[in-house]
Amino acid sequence: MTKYIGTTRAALVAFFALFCMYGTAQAAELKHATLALQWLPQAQFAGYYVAQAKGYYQDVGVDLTIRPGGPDIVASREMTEGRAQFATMFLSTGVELRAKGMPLAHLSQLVQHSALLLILKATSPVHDLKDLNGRPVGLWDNEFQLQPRALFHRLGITPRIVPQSGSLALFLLGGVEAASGMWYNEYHTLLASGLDPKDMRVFFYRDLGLDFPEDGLYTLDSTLKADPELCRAVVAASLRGWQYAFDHEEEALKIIMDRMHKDKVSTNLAHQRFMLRRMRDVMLGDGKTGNHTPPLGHLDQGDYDRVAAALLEQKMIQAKPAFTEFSRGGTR
Amino acid sequence: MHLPRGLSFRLAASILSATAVVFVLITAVTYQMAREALLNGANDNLKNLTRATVNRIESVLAPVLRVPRGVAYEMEEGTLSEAGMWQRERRVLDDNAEIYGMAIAFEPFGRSKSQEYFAPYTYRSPLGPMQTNLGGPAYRYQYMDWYQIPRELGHPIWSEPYYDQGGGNALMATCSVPFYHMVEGKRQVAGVVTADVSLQWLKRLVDSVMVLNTGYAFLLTSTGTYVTHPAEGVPFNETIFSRAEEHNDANLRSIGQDMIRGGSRLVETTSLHTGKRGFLCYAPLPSTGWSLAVFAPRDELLAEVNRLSLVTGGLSAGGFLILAIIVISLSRTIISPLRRLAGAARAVAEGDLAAPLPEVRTHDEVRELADSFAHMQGSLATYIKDLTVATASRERMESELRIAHDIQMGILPKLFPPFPDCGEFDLHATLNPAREVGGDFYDFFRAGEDWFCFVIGDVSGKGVPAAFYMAVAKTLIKAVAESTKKDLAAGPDPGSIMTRASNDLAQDNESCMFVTIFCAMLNMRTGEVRSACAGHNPPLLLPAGTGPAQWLPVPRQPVAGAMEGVEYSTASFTMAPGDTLLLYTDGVTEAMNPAQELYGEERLSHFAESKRGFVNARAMVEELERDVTAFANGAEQSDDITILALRYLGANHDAGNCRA
Repeated sequence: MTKYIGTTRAALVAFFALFCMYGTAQAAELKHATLALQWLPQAQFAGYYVAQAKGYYQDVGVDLTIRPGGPDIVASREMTEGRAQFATMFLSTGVELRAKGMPLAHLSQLVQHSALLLILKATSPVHDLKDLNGRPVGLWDNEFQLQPRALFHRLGITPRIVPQSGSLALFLLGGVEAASGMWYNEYHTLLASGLDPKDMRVFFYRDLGLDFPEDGLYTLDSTLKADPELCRAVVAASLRGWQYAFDHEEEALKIIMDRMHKDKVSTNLAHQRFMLRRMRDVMLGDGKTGNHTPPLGHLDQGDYDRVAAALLEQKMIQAKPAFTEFSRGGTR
Repeated sequence: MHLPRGLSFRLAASILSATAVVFVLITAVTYQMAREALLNGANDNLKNLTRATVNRIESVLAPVLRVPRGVAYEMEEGTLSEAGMWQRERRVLDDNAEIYGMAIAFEPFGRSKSQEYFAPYTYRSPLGPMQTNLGGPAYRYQYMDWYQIPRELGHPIWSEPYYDQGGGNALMATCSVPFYHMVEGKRQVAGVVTADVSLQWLKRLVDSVMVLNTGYAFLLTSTGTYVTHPAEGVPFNETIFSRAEEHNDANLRSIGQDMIRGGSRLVETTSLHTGKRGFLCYAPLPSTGWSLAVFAPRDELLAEVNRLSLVTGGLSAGGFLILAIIVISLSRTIISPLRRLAGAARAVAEGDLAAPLPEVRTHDEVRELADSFAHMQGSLATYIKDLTVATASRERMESELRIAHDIQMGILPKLFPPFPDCGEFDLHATLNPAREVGGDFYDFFRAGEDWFCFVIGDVSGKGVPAAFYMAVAKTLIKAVAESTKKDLAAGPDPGSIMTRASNDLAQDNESCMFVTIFCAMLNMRTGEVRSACAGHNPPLLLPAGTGPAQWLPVPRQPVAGAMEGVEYSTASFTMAPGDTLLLYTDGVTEAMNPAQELYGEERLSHFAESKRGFVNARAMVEELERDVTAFANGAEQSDDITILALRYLGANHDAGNCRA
């Protein structure tokens, strides 16, 4: 009996040693990379977290670290300052940065439709968006201003822009006539603050001729040139993660919730579930918008041209980068 | 034993079930009323608890606002230098223990064109008060709610509570007051004064609200976010609406909407936290716009009522048990003597007349029953004793009568055919007494060489006296006939035989009995028949040929033995071979059927004619017996029935000649 246990233990030790050697050997072969996200962990990035949790990046030889964004962390800067090799950002941000000289390479387009909303209370006297002229409208900074400014330009109005904080308290308290919101996030926050859909008047930019694709996966020219395989691997594993997240909602939500708890980000399951479902809508199309939905990962040149034109019009860029210089990943 | 148990069972069951219904009703009504009263009281308590908690919170939060407001006034006066601001903040912290930190934040470039952010901030730290200037590219406070909201709204505002990461991870809320200055005659926002208030006490206060065992309180911000809640992971993660969404609870959502609108109500609902039904009472905190709710589980509120009901129910059950014992033992007391009486009655019925009777000590109906029963038992014993004696005597009598019957039958000739060697005639006779013994008789014997005597008689009355008389009469007639047969050369004379016999019978006949007799002598050689009749039914002659049956024309003479000195004459006729003479007593003609009809002579005559071609006397007699029995159809036989049939066959009959 004793001998038997001894033998088993010996075998276990040997196996464990082998396993460690194998692991070390494999780890040595894995390429380290970091992906910077635009914002804190949430279902907006479910695909990446799921791919990481399911080991999809390891499967393609990448040891990927995900670096969440935040109020003070800008994904593109993480990349240019060398803390990350990959980053997610809006298409408009990507075009703008590329036009301003950042050697960005677009690898994959995840969100094909704009989720940006302009939200008014149903009690608001503003029924026509033109009536917003001169009234306080909460807008976020940077990329979130492109569509509103293009809209206001088109409508020929000049609302009073009130920088919008991370919360919707000002809107809820009546401090602004309209607030910005993402369909998958703030819209649900309002629902979860006691507003019913009938209490709100919601305008989708995607339905106002401003359906600009949003989250895409980017790298730097240098990274792409040095290791195109790595880029392809990260894109493929990320898409695989997204598909899995859509197919396994509860499991994906658990991965997200765990990550958010770990990072001490306040949230609740109802909110993340709503977000994941809306991500699916804006990534794969929900059939409610008449706009064409390109295949997942694919950047449509028409979309690119419209975003670049809006940026030019708003004088946010001086020249439009060539599409082929910008879009480097295709659908591979 | 079924009946006594049934009676006591029914008695007890009906009393007890009625009582049980009353007890249950009392318990149910008590429960209902107590529950109403208790719920009303409990709801008042719940409202009071909610109000008291709100007041306690407000008593701290409401005055806090005065502090940043005072500083804002000072800022608008513009008297404070930068050093004065730092000093002011320090003073506030020293004087107000509940204030954790204070900032005086200016509009970007508002204080100086060269400095974008100017916001002196003093806060408590484990090392004592610390001071820092807020703002920077990574902390653009002008976009922070604490700054932006009062700035945009133009009035003081409480922020949503938050966990301050730098401040010892304590629950905080910030109270912000905007201050203004005049620029080119216009009132413009110059900045915002804030006071950070630690809400640890608030959390402790709300968490410490205990309602019974599992009741609890929680605090919602104006957007429905839970600030405190007993469930792990709920505060600051969930809003009441996200919780309602996750649990698909539309009711909770509408409660939440009322709460954040400043509603104040008491509603009945189910707690998602404990899963219990109960009452939720909520009221707003006016200074902050938050809302406090207290949940009281219904079952625990009702625990008091349940306890009361349990006591009532227990008392009822106890009372019921005592009543049950009393009722059952009482019914036993009543029923038990009855039961023992029934046992005694059965023993008596089975013949044990000495069976002991239960002793009944009470003076009631049962006692009367027992007394009556004892009396009945005594009477029965006496009666049975008498009956036993009477039965014994009757049995002895019956036995004697049976013997008498046997003797009576024994004196009648029963050997048929009586003289097998005499081929001249065929004879058969039968006698069926109505009782054991009867007064009828028949007889036949040879009276000399050629003569054959046959007699039938019927004594007046029935039974033993008639039997005695019949025996005497029969014996006498035979004795007289025997004594006279040698004296008469001219042949026997039935008339004189009857005369002598009647005289003998009449002597000392104190009972005045009499007898009807038909006595006849047949000359076996010639067929001559000499007969005498003492008041007897005339015999029926059935001729051998085709002639009708006819009643023998006998002289109508008195009955024998009634008086002395009666002379009887002798009639004579001759029977042709094949003629049949049928003798009978009135038991045949006066036999009755159930319809009280008599058999009658006519029926007898028809019967005889229908038997014209009969084979022998025996068959004739037996068939007549059967015919009479059939006619009687079960009616009781009232008189002795005697039949005698004689068929004359002639002297030269093949069967033989008894004289030869």
